[in-house]
Amino acid sequence: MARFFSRKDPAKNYLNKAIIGLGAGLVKSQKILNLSFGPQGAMDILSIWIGQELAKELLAQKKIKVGISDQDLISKLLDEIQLAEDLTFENVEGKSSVTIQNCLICPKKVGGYDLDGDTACPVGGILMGALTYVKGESPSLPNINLKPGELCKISLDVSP
Amino acid sequence: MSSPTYSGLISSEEALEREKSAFILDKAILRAICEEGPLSLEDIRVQTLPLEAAIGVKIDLPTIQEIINKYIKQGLIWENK
Repeated sequence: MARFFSRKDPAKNYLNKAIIGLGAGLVKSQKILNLSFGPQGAMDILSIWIGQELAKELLAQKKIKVGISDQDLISKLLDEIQLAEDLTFENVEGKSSVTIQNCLICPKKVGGYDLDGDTACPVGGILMGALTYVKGESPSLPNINLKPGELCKISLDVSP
Repeated sequence: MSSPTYSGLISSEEALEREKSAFILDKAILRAICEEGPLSLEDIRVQTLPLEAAIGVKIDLPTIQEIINKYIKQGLIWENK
């Protein structure tokens, strides 16, 4: 098991706030927008594209290279966009998975919005978008699982 | 032997309410099965094509099968053999 920690840097808060606003806006406007899979479904799609753009920028800035391991890419995202303060990689039943705790882009816990039982978590989509982008064309979708609660855990299967 | 099909054990509204926080692919598969089942794996794959276009990421049969297996285990859908 590998565990990474990142310290919150107020100078990097703008992207976090943008994503928090996006999530809260999706929840509040879901009836007007007629979101067929709810705000979480809309956020899943949008955040995959956000993740791809972030990976593109990390590549452009030469902060990562094509072929970077999933683990290294995720820890880079942790630092660059302040995804979370605490991230753990572990191997469960032969599959590598990442669990993120103390997320820093949650519309509810960080943004303080009352989402009335809904979620609009962008973490899984961002990770998925970034991971699949650096793998190249038409990658397969990794399995993803969000368990919201007092301590949110987002697990997705990634390559070792 | 014909390939298995999948049917919902609850309504799609109940399923989506229960799986509110699930990833959109999981919800899309669950809704397709609960609304239109019995569906084969290939039928479900066809139903996920618009989502594949929306996210720009390939959705393959093993991924779909894994999600189906999860919901069979949770008792939301069942397999007709």
